[in-house]
Amino acid sequence: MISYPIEDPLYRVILISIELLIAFIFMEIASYFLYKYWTNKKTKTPSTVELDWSIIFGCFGIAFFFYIYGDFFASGNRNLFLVCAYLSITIGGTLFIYHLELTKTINTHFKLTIFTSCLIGVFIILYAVFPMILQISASFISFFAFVIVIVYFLRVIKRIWSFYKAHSTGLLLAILIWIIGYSGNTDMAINLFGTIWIRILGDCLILTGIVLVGFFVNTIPSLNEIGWREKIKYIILTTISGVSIYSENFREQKEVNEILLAGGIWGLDIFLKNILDEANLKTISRGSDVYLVEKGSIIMGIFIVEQDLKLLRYLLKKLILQFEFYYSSILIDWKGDLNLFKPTKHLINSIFAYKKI
Amino acid sequence: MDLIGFNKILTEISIDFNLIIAVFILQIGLFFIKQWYNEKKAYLSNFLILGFGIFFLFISLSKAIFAYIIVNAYYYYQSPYSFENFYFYYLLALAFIAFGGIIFTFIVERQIIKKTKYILTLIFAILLVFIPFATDYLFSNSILTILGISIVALSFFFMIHAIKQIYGKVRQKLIISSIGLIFIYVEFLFASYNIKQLIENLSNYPAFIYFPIQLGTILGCVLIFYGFYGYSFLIESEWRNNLIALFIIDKIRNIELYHKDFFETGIRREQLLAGGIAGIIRMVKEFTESKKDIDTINLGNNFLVLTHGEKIISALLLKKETQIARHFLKIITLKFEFLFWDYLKYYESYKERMSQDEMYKPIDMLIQDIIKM
Repeated sequence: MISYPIEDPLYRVILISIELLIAFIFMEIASYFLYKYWTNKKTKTPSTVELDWSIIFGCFGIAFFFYIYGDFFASGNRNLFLVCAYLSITIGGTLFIYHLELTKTINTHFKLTIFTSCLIGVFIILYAVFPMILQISASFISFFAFVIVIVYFLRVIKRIWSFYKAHSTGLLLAILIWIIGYSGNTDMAINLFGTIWIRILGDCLILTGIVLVGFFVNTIPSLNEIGWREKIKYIILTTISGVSIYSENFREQKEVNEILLAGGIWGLDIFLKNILDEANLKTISRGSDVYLVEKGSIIMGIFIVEQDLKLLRYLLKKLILQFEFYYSSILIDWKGDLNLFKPTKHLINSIFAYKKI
Repeated sequence: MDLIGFNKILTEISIDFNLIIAVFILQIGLFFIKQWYNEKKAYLSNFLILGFGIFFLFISLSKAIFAYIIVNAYYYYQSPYSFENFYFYYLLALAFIAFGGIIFTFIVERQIIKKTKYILTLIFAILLVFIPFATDYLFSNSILTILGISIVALSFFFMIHAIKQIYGKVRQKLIISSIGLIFIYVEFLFASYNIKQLIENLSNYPAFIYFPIQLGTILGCVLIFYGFYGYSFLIESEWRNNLIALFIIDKIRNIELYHKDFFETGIRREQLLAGGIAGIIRMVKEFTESKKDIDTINLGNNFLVLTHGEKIISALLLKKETQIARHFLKIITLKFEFLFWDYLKYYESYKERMSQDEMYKPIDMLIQDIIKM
């Protein structure tokens, strides 16, 4: 049984140093995501993923400050700081889940938000009435929280899996290491293993986890890649000579005149090629409207999107390749019947995993 | 809790903060090395940013060793000097600073201050040779002081050089970074033995001074990140070399008013380009029934950046898109309309009296002034 506050100089120095470091790195990551969200909000459409992650990392950071104070500096009222830490994580979790439900990342119709907000009351009651079972209850509740975190990250990873397999695997591994580390950090783990070294190991794992999260998130060019699906506005496929053969409006309020637009972009491409050496039209940007242009051997694809993302270009290339695979023989002596290309919506559905058809 | 108790808590946290500061400085080093690596992948050579990264890496190692000494001294010994193998760790920390200094100075002398002919690098190398023999307080402290002054001077020289190269928002960010650097060096100053002694003699609660300074150091690290985040330092600082050609087009008449090639271009039929750009912008606007104007066209190898004034469109053909080039284009557009408003408004009548080249000749001076070619 460990007595608090921890007085042994060896444990104290190691634990305070590592846990302060964890708290600061959590706060650093939270600030990084908040800054990204804030700057994107000013310039482009903000990615809600950034705000979600900022909330969750920030609340964990604050919780760690409470843990440190409660375990090393508070004399006699450790439970008060523990409950503050739990409340910090619960409030953060409630905001996080509310945001996920609001943006329909998870379709649970605010049931989880109601449930997690009730936990705030549960913790206060436990602290006031049943302080003896406060920690054990928190351990069970945190198990539930871990399940939500894993489900959330699985959903996030699913969206970018096709293009970022290694990054996604790394990110998931990092989250698992973080969760295992967090479990090792609890009183339950210390009592189970009978040594405080398990907390040190837990801290090291949390640190490793968040460093890996930072690394893998950084290697993805933009977190907006995760929300790529919401960025698509319009898809236009044209023949290589600029005749529109298929278009689909995903969420533009106004209909785009795709016949004229396709011809115009084709004309622009030809014009620039004539004027500039080696010009190969890739993108036209107009504030929050970005036209991604990609050419195959017999067709040209135009994506009207909110942001130039690597994943979107990859998917556009994939669509062109598959379209050419299925329709190349038809396009050779095509007489102008657009109905032939109607099944393209199934192709788009399979590539973009849209359910709206 | 009384002030003594609070001072005790803050002292312990301040002691443990040393490791956190070392980790944050390590992050800065890795951040710069990553930037260098990304640019290397894009076939760009930028040893300055690599030098800055390695320098911070060594500084963080040195800070970590100092943190080890301070933490051990606090928990197990009365004074750092009574700590076992104190001089070994202390001199190792000094050697790391000197190593970082040598690498950074070498790169700075190679790329920026060629006049010094590697004398500064040599000074660092000599200091490094002396470090193993600095086993008494006076000698080691003198070396630390010389190293400290040199690295502070050198890093600020680098920052000032970088700020001078850059305009607009990026310049503001670099100034903020420099403030961050000041925070870090202030902490280093307050971590020195002499200043510590002075504070402890002057105040009964020294932690109330140390703790905010250490928090300030972490803030300093964050400011450095902020200053270099969101753009490529090399590409931005080399913005002049990315310029290919500038076109100023009359929006209403669809004619080219001015054009300047910054070096041999592969552009054919420039008049056609000017007219074409204006036509395309109008065409795309009409197709999509949108009020927004095209601001960038990515051409694979090059970028065409556009700024729309009231009467003109300025187009800048670039090898790489940079924030500074966009800032430069905005200034050109504003100044051009300001200077030649009458010409733009009554173009036909002025055209009869003077040639177009004569009309817009003064803009050459403005461009040269901005680019300082």
